[in-house]
Amino acid sequence: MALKKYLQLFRISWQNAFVYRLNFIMWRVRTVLWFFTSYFFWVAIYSQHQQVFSYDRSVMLTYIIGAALLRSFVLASRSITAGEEIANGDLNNYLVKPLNYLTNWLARDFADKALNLVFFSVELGLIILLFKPPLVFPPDAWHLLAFLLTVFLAMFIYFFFSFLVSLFTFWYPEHNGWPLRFIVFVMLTFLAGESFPLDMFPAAAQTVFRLLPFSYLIFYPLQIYLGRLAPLQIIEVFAVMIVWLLILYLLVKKIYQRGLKIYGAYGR
Amino acid sequence: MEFRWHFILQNLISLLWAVISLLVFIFIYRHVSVVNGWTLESILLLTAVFFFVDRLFDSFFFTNFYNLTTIVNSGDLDYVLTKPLSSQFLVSLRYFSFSTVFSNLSMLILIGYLLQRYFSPVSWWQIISFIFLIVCGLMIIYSLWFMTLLPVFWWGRVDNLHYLFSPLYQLCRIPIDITGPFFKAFFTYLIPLGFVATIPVKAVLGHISFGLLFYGFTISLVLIYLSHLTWRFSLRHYGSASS
Amino acid sequence: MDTISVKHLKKFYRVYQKEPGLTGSLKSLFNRRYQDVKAVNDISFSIKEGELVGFIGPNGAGKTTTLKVLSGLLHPTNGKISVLGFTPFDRKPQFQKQFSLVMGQKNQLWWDLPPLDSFILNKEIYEIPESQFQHTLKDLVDMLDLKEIIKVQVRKLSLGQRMKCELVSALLHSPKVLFLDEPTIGLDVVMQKKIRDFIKGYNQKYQATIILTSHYMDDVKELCRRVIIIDKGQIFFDGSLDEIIKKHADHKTLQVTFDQPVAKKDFGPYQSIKITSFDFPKATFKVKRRLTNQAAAKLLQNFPVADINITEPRIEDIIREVFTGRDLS
Repeated sequence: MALKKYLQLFRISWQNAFVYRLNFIMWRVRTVLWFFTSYFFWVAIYSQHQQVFSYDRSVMLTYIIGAALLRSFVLASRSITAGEEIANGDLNNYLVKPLNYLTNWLARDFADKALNLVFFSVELGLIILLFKPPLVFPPDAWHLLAFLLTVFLAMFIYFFFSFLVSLFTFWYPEHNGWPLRFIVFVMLTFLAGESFPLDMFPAAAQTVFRLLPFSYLIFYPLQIYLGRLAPLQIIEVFAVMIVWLLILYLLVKKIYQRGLKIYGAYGR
Repeated sequence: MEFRWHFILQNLISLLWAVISLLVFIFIYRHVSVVNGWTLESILLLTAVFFFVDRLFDSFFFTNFYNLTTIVNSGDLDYVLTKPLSSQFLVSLRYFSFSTVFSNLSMLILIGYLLQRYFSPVSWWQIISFIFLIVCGLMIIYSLWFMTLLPVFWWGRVDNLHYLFSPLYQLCRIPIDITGPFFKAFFTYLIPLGFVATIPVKAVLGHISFGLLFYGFTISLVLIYLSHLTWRFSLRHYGSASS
Repeated sequence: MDTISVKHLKKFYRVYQKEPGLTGSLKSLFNRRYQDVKAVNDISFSIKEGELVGFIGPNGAGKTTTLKVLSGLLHPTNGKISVLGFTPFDRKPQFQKQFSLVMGQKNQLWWDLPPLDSFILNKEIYEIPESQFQHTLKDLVDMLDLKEIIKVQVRKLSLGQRMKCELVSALLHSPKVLFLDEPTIGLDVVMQKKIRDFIKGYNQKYQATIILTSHYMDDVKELCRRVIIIDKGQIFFDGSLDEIIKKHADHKTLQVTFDQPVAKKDFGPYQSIKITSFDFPKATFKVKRRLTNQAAAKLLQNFPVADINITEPRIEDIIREVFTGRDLS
């Protein structure tokens, strides 16, 4: 019974996205072209090198394509708007209704991701048709399954992290929370392994990456997909992701409650 | 005074983008030394030039492009049209945004540093052709981008129309000759985005022909004129449609 | 049991002080200084089921703050609040399903979709059974004459149409209590009347308890038999509109038009007639109620009067007088 309301939110979000058709298409074009700049650069690199740091051509190009896919899917989040809603007081609309704010955004976020997935699949099809990239596939079905599971977890991890960033507007509502949001966004391009695989960093940096949740958004799932991790390492990846998932979830809950107290103290 | 803080924030953000792009290349080049003739230093130079031109363009035109949709739809355009100056000039250059001045300066410093450290000696001719081509690049981008805004006269309310061109423009971030002769020719002669970053960099490094300079000059004039023609055409439509 | 009960409500805001300039902004990141603003400073009142009460007061009086506290959006600094037997700030779903808050300037309909989509969403959020939803929707749409527009994108609707749809959206779950914050703000005169009539009709038909805040005296005059006047976080008056008039306005206004020049000093000898405005050829006078006819007669006899009009003082003026503490005698 209660689930219906979040399902309806999912649907209405989906419908809403279609209204801004032109915007949406332009945004997709941007994403695809951004991907091209990255892709062609790597193609150029590999025209003169056989291997770059243990990645051969097909593996690297698969990584770049996979990273673009995961970026538009895992790292897309509508919950940026939550920050704005908190900053300008629209949060009130939700607080008077029998609705869980967090679940509301989860539903809307997933609608967005679903939409992105549909579109990127089409784009991926076109890319494969036009450029015939040398794709690599997972070594076996287990790896594929593990990959899909990590992607599923990654979506939640990013959702909670993104929501956490939005929650800061309870304390710093200036500019609707955009400065922090933007800085995080930019750093993520780097830290999630979207621009290039994180194992290209020196070993010391990699130890840090293993502990932070960001590398599990794009880099590690792709490593599993590409079959570059031993079974024990795959289990380690899952363990770290689950731990981070729990940590972020608890943080979100706690900080949200705290934020509401502040909000309830002087409102907007 | 909030404005000042906002201004600094904007500068930091544009700077951050540039820095990240530079870092990505620095990291990638730890494993390769040359990519199709582009070394780390030259590609850093290219990135710095791209961001420099990009921010310069932003300062001059972004606010105005953003406003164009509003002006056309609200009828404020009428007010502009009554002024004695060229309406296109007014519409395009009305506001100058200071927000990216700081990052511009840093890019300029970086360009200077890279040239001095890795590419000297740099002759006066190289510098002049560099500046010349940057101006051409700005004019080319302006014209192309401006023309993509004109659908507002027919489509009315279109959000984010001023962003329509930017994805294409992002392609200039990488050297146009890195992917092969086809794209090189395409972005030099057909849609001359190469003049934004790659070609000026080539010029400052001394690898440019007179022919290309001349072409750059001509095509930028042609495109400006084209933008002017399409502007006038759109205005005629506006005049006949508005009440 | 009273539907709404407020006892000694106090709500103080902490307003963060920020020094101007860049250093101020930096400083405020580390050390925020604040000051307490007494938005609501000890008010008490209770409202019974089916009442339609108006909250009036100048900007910053505490009206919206009170409504927000009653809706559970703000927690009181002090005091005991009860709405429908619930403590609003607990925000229990059972409570939320029984009330609605509509704020004039803010909208909750999805901007790019037709109102009907937002209605359906609300249906799910409030867990309204399908048949009840259809029935209520039809009722409201008929009452507000919205049949043509519920399938049009909200952003294409006029302000008045949007406000009507907001009201429908707020009433789909048949709330027992309705808080309306400036519902007619920004609307044209015709639309204001339509909304007013609707609110009145709704209150009568469904016996919903309604609190209405408004700047427009017409809203108050037409809808509210009971008014609560708030200023600077305190209640100045709580009672019927008629009481105010009797208590604070024991005079009548004479609007006179002269057809020949007269001077202010000419009215000097007439003590009972007080001039409130004098702008030839028109002038306004204030006279104690029981002396009205006498005064009118005197004016007609002794002055070149072209036209004379005797009216009740405007409520706006009365309220203003109440606020400035001046007595109208």
